[in-house]
Amino acid sequence: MMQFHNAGAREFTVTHSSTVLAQWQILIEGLIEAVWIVDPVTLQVVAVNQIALELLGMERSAVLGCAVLDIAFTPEDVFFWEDVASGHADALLSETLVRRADQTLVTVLRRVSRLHDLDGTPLYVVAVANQSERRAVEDELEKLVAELRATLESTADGILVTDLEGAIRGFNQGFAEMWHLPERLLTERNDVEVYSWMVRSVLDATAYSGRMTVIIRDPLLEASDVLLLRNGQVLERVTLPQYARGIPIGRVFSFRNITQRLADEKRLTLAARVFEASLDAIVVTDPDFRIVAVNPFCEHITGYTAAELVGQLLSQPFPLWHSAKPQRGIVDVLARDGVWQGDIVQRHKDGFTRPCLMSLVRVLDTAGAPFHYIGFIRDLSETQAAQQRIEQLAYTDALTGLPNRVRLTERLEYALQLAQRDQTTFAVLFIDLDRFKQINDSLGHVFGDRVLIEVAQRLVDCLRQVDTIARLGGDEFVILLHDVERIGAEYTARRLLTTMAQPLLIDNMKFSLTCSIGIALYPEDGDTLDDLIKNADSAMYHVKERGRGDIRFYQRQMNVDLLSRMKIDHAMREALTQEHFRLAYQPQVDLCTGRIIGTEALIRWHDQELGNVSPAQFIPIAEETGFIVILGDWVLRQAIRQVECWQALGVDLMMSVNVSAVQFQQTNFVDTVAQLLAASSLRPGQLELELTESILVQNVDETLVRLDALVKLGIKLAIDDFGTGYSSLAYLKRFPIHRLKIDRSFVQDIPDDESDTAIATAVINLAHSLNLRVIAEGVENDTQRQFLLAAGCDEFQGYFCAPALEPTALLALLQRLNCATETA
Amino acid sequence: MSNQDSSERSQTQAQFIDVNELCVGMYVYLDLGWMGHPFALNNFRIISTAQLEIIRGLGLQRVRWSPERSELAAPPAPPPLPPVVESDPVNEHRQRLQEQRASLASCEREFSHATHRFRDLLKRVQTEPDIAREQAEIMVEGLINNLFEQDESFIRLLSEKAGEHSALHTINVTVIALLLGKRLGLDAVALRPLGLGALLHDIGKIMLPERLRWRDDGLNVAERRLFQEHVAYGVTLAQRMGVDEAVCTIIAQHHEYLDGSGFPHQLRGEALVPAARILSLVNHYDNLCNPANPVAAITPHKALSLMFAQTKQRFDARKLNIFIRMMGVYPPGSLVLLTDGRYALVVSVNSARPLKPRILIHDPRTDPADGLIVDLEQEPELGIRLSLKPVQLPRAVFDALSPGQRLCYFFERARDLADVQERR
Repeated sequence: MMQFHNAGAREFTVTHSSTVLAQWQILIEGLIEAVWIVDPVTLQVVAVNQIALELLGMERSAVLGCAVLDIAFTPEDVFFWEDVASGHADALLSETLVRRADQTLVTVLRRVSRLHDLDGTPLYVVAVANQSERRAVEDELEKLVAELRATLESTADGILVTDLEGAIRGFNQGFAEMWHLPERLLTERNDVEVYSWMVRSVLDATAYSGRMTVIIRDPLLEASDVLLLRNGQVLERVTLPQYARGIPIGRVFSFRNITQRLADEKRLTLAARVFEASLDAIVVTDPDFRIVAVNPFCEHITGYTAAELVGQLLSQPFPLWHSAKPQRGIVDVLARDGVWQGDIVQRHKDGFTRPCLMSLVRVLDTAGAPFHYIGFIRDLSETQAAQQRIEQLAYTDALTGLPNRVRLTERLEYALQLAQRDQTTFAVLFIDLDRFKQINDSLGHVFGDRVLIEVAQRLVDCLRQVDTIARLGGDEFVILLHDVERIGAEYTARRLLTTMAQPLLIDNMKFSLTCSIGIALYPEDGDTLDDLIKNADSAMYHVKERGRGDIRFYQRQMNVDLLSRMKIDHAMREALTQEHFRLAYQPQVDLCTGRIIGTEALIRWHDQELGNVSPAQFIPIAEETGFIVILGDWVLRQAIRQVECWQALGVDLMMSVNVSAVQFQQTNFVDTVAQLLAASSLRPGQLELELTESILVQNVDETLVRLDALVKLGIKLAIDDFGTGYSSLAYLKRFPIHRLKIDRSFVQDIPDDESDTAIATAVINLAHSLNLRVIAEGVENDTQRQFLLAAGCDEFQGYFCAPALEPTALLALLQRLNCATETA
Repeated sequence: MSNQDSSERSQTQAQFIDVNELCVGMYVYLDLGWMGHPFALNNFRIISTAQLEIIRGLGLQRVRWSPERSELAAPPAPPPLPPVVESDPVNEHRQRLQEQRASLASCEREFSHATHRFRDLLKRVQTEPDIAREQAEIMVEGLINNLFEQDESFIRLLSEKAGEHSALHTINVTVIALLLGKRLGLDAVALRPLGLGALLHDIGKIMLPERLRWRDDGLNVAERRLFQEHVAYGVTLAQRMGVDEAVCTIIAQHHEYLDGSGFPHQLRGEALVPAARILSLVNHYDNLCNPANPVAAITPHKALSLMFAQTKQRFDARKLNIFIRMMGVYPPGSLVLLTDGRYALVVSVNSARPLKPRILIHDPRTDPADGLIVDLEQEPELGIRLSLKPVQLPRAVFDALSPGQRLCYFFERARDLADVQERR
């Protein structure tokens, strides 16, 4: 066990002779270490050198002779000497502590060895080397190193230190975190794994490895790179040589995570670009509405430079308010909602203004107080212009600038309401330009457009301010005459006709254009928009039918007529299939001989519902619908058959069949007739076709070809209703016509009416001078007959002889008359 | 793949098994006509014992089965081999090492649990003092029970963890105090107040401002005085918790020294109760090994030397004696440099010959699993020259000697993985 000894025993047993001890003493005095020699039996100090005394800080008298345990200060020493006492140990080498007399501790390296002197007597030599200096240095070093390490650990950057070959010397926690090193790489030394982990973490592994090779290869290289990791992070890497006394002994890599910084920079750059590029003017002010920053568009819109604008109050370049203090209303709204929007008229430095939309936004700071106001100013002038244009387009006709259908409808509705309320009347005029299609086709659409523009202008000039004229499209115009009655409407319509009668001069081309006008009045011709327009349209249509270039008021029948038109057309087609048509024959009488020389086939139709429908009614409809072709074909067949019938009975008469223009213009008309004739037993010259004048003025060349072809077939040609339509004497000369038929209108009043007689006479003379025969239609009395005979007319047709008769009736008449003449 | 193909394919792979060895989960092929068995298909996986019985009743000796298609709960284990009786010293040695490591691991776990529970307790001390007291009593009881089989491992653990951040001073002190108490002959009844006092001794520090809680050096006079208040605060808190008077006394005296140089009352000699003497000794020791500034930490060996060489008058001589003998001159877990220049780890105390413990020598040529444990008592020529702090060891040596502890390869090499994870 441990024992505490008094450092006092001066008496000690000496195992060795004093001479030996004296020699030892001399020897140990020359050593650097502190030494004391211990008697193995008594375990007392028998010799001690000066160094030891200085180390212990004790007097020789205190040490020499004391128990070694007195100068054994650590448990180790105590235990050792116990071991020595029990014979278990005899040597010891270790660091230990020595406590000096002044109670300070010294770290020493202490060695106890058991030696034998020349006699063989054992003794223990305790040699003690003062380690304190070295320890102090070591401690200091350790402290420094620890501090350095702590510094390296506490930087925000990740640090990796390698030797010149790239072997890792160390890295800090920042590095491990930046690269997300797994735990196993933190606790075991595995350079290859760490490096390969880094390579795998990088987006472009090849480039990274290549760069690392370059860096490692050059010990003096200083480089800065940006690394993109797979996980989206961006690291900035700076690598420098690690110098010790000016020579590179390794390499230091420091990494910094700049992902956030890059992102922030990018955002800032983007924001700045948006600010610069924005097509809205952006202005930033301080809480007192003083301008702090403006963008380029702001300069553009105000005409001032940024330098001039900064520092001014917001209201100076942007007229939001006119006093020095901001307007209460705006500030209140901003305070309540954080935004305010309103229209302002922005004045440019050069004076012109433009309408703008201004939005103000309030930006708060972290404390919640207004920090900035940001104003966005948008130029509305284009928008407004566009809006106006849209309105314009929506409501006006693009070509003429007149209101369009939409606006017309609007106005009409309004007029209706007004008239209803005030019990007034107004008129709707439907105007259609006559034969406008021809102008478009012959002179081109561009020309046609200019005509329309000119026409529109003329029409507008005839109207009052309160009236509305709209172009419905094509060549149709509708006029709304405000607060007029029948007379007023007619007056205006006639004025329109007059103004249209003036020839147009466009591109040095003079030509005339007429229009057809249909008029419907409110309230008698309709009390809704649709009715009025429809009725005016019908009226206009009638004008077209009756020759164009005129006005007409709507009459109830017009619509009824329209209805009945469709009915009649349908009925006609049915009638044909059901054989309700029949032909009646009006005899043509030779004036000289008085004999019946031929007949005109006239179509008759008796319908169950409609009764006797006059050809004057249904023929025009048939011509409109094109049914006339079929009908005319049927008529021709029937007539030919009738001739054949009569031939069989020994009656030999000429047959005249009416041919409408529509029929004649069919491409295969000649062929059809040829076929019919060929199939029949008619002799040449027995069939005559009556043509209207209108056939003869269109497509002259074509017509001539057909007429020649017909004549070649042995057909005779006559001009029906001569004098009522258009005729050209030149054509008359060219065309292979045989006969002219004087229209009944000229025969009616002869011999009383001088003009009629003159005309009739003239026609007869004309015909004869052209070697044409002439027949008068509508002869009703003998006076007419006598006159005509005297004038030299060849034949006549009319009630004086007989109306159109049934075939049997005609035969009977034929027999009677011819017998009479024969006998005569 | 059609059934045909797969069955053809597996025909080459299918094996035969004795019908008695069939079990549920095996995929079998019954090579009988359709009428020869009651099952719907010829091949299927057995899903019940009933099916097993039926198959066995079919009269087949062997059945074709496919291991690949079977779903067996546990692989049909080969019969266990008879244990190899090897009186191979290497294996024994390895086994011993493994046992040691297992023991260390379990101590470490115990430590870590204790640390967590203590932190929990600290939170409740002021708000729920009664519950805190109960928790403390449970902890002490647990420690007392667990320590005693593994006291050597605990000591080793303490030494290994010396200087680490995660070492919680209170737990260290409690463990060592209990160990010393037991060594001094205290029974369970007497150990409890010692343990509780040790557990709660620094409880007063929670009333100190943060910066004073962790620093124990470089304080000026006023700060020092304030620091010393923690003793009184501790007593108050303990009283509020309702602990025994004895425990309060221990807490009150944990900074007093025999020679009157302690605080707050500069008590001396007999005024100190024995338990407090144990505590103040152990407290002093742990503060030397785990000071606030880790750089100032010294090895356990050095701490003991210092306490003995310089301040033994502060402590009860007998207790100090026994403490040193318990810990050993070089406590287990100390990393040492031998007189022949090799590095070693002290693994156990030799109470009879404290200078000759058993050590684990690091030999770079051998497998660390076969670490050479040497009983220095058998080696008169070999001795320990000095003790080292873990950071002073070459990394490879440290890894070999203390594989249970994982230090990170940071510059600051005393960084424990647990600390790293905490920081993360």
